[in-house]
This record gives sequence, structure tokens and C-alpha cells, in this order.
Amino acid sequence: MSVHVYGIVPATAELKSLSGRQGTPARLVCAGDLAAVVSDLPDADHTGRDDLMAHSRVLESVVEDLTVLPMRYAVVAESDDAVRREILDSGSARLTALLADLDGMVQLTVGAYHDEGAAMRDLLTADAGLRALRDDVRRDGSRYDLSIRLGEAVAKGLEAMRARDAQGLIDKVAPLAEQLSVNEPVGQHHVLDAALLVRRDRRAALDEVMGTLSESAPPRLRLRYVGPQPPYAFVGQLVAEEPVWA
Amino acid sequence: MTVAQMPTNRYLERPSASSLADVVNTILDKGLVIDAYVRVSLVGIELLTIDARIVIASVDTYLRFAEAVNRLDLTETETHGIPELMQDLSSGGAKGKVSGAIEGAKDKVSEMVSGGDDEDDDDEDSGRRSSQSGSSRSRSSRARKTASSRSRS
Repeated sequence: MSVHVYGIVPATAELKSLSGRQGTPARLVCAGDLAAVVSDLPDADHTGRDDLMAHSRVLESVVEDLTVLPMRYAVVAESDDAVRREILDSGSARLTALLADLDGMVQLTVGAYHDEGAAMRDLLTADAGLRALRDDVRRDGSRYDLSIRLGEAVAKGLEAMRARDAQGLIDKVAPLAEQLSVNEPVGQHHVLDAALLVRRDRRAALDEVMGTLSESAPPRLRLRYVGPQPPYAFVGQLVAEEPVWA
Repeated sequence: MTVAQMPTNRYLERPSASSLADVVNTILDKGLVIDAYVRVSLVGIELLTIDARIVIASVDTYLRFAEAVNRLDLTETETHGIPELMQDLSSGGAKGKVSGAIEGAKDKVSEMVSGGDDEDDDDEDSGRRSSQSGSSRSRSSRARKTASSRSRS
């Protein structure tokens, strides 16, 4: 029976009762000091939203109490033995080191985007030149080239504002993180997508910072705060130093 | 997102669990894999995500922005046109030419979906891009190809 692998925990872990993909219970497969959190996968060929959410949900439940190294979606092994051989044994050195390094840590993700209308309002309020250009466009709406120029100036102004807002947020939250992994913003109004590696005993302090930010941020800034998550952004890529040739 | 729908920030004192949007942002291209040569996606399943976020700087975007700021009602709406300031804003291009336009997304959605099995491309960003033709909307849906993988025996 194929098994879906969620992540790696110490072999001493105790799992709560959890159901994973396709409703089968999450359980541990152990080898030495390491264990993989897995569940049986009757149908290994299909995947959908529920499967993605199950992977995330199991990991977020485990990380409430345990250090867990998350697998990417989806690592599916042919059997429990394959899990032991290809993941736990072959990756033993690296996985043990990662569990030690990430002990007592969780990931929290801070996101932000602009409300377009509010951002434009702030931009125009601050920039007399932009307002003047807008007035010229209003006076002569047939001037296609002026409209382009206005739109481009707005685009550039918004981009600069996004960058400033992103840095402002990073400055506020970075002091509470052990590491920061900032993703490339994607999208017209996307300001920030940052993964923070946070010590469990500093979570409350970060919560407080986010609370203050959410109250004091200007209306143009929409914030998102997700977690605790397993440290997706901080485990690197490979289970083992060398690729696994099983 | 549209202007009319924006709520104020609710008080973010506690973090929330991952939503689907968060999930596709993490588990599909972050986390451990067995080896770099086994691509996660093998069997193609189309998965529509919400909130595709696409960066496009183009004439259509500029026109839309121009229209949007035109409609904005600021407290100070009237200024006296100041030609000198307009020069600062000039991109230096000739009339009718748009300088600095960036063609953002290059991949069409269909190409991305059909190309999902290629093993040559381990680019983590390849799944995020999709195209949007001359759109005046800031949101569109994208199809994402994902699947389960098997570890080799």
C-alpha cells in the first residue's frame, strides 16, 4: 500500500489522533532516532484541494507540539519499508541535524498587499506633480499619450510605495525572527510574503507586534498572518546530501 | 480585489491556519523532497487556485491606472497645471510611445499546464506565472498542475 509522507519527527514523538489524505489515520514509521509521519494512500493517482489541505492540516496539527520537518507535496512511498530505506536511513544525518537546528522553532508567515484605491489615494495626496498630470489628462481626455504617461507614473509610484511598505514591515517583524525568508512579490498589489522562523517562546511577542501593526497600519495596507506552520522555508530541499538511488 | 470590497484590517492578534491560498504558496514548492531528480509532479491534475497574482506592466495597465486615478476624489482635486512638473514625470519617450513597458508573464496558462511534466525545469517559480491578456482586472484565475509523486524503488 502506498503511503503519503507528511514530514519527519523525532522517533520519541507521540502523535495525536489525526486523519490525513483520503481519510486514513496519520501514523509513525520509525527507524533509529527518526520517524516519518505517514498515512496509507489507497488511491495514489489522484489529488485535489482536499488532499493539499490534508497535508497542510496534518502538519499544522503536529507542529503545535512537535518539531517537524515538512515534506513537499507530494512525497509518496511504495511501502513503510521504502520510507525507512529511502528517507529515514538515507537521510539520517541530514534529517537529524535539521531536527536539532529547528528544535523549538515554528514558521509564521506575514503577508501584505495594497488596497488599490487607498494606495492610489495616498500616492496622489503626496505627489503634487502627479495630481497636476491628472488634471491635464482630465482637461483633455483625448490625449492618449498623456494617459499612458499618467498611468506609468502611477505604476511606478505604487511600486515604490510597495517597496517602502514591505521594508517597514520587515523592520518591525525581523527582530523577533531567527531567520527570514522573503519571497518575490507576485502581482500588482502584492507587498510582502515573508516566512519567519520564530522560537516558540517568542511567538507571543510576535503576535503582539502583528496586533499593533494591524491597528496602526494605514488603510492601504492589508495584512495577513498565518501559522504556526512547520518550517517549510527553512529545511532546504533534499532529504539526503546525495540523491537517493534506491 | 476591487476597491468597494475592502474591509478594514481585523485585529490580527493571533495567526490563522493556512487557507488554500497559503497552502499552494508553501507545500507545492517548499519542504523536503527525496531527490532533486524526481519532480514532484508526475500525474497531471489541474487545480484552479484563487487569486492569481500576476505582475504586468503594460499599456493596458497604465491606461487602467490613469482611469482609476481620474475617478479618485481627493480633498485637493484642483491644481493649476504646472508644465515644469510634467517634465519630471516625462518618460522621455516620443508621443505615443510607451517606454519602460515590461512584458511580465510570458507563459500562457495552457502551455504551463501541458509543460508540467518536464523534468528539465526545477524552477520554483515556473508554476506561478500565467498570462493575462490586456486585462483591466487585477485578479484572474490560473490553472496549476500538480500531482502526487512516487519515490523510485
